[in-house]
Amino acid sequence: MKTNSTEQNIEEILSSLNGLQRAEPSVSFEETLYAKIDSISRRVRDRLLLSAAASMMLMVLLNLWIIVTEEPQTSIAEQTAAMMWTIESEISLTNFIVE
Amino acid sequence: MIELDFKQLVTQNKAQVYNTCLGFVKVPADAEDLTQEVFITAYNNWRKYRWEANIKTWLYRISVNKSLDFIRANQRLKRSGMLTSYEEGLTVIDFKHPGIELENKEKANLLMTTIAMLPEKQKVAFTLQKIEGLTVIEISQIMELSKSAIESLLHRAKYYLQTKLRTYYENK
Repeated sequence: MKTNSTEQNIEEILSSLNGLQRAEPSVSFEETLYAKIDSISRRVRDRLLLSAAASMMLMVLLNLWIIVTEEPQTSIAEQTAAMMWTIESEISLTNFIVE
Repeated sequence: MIELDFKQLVTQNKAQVYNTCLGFVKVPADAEDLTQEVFITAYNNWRKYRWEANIKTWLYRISVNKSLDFIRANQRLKRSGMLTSYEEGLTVIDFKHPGIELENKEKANLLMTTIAMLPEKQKVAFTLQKIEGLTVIEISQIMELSKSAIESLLHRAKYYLQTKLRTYYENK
């Protein structure tokens, strides 16, 4: 008798899941999610900008070091133009990353 | 700027993802946090997967993985003694699943406790079938296993649950 009631209980309990109602996340769910995504995207963009700026600074310093230490084989005007070109290409790379 | 089609994806699937996570973790606040994590992962991979034929399967897969990671992390905490274990013996714990009606609460809590004790793959297959109402084919796509492997997992899960519940009722 006890076995029958146990089996019945087990079947009842297993079938109780079939009628489980669907639940909904809170009303502010989407708002919170988009705020989180925005903050993560901003952090990633800031990190990229920082590394681009750091590499730009490094290139400028490297160029300056070359100008100061090496015997000039080209004119100062040519060297300045080369340095400006480096800076401009770094800036356009930074802009590309930001976009 | 979050793209419009991603926002549509969230609106259309947030309930599905939330219920899947809730089916595993049983606590609404944890399920909501996990749902947020699922969509953040989806956003990070959105450009790669936006043309995927079956977005739902992809979302189910992320939801299951995130939920299992959460459960594993909790189990590690328990093992290190920071939480009390409910896996020793069959001590029924109070799950706060909002879909459980009050009159079924005791039975459902007992069942949820027993499901939580299943081996991981059996737990995934059983939860997806019984709580999410998915077919064996859908579960096999989500778990990336064959149809017969899923059927075997479901069979073993049911047998395990019956054995555990029988022991519980006979000792009651």
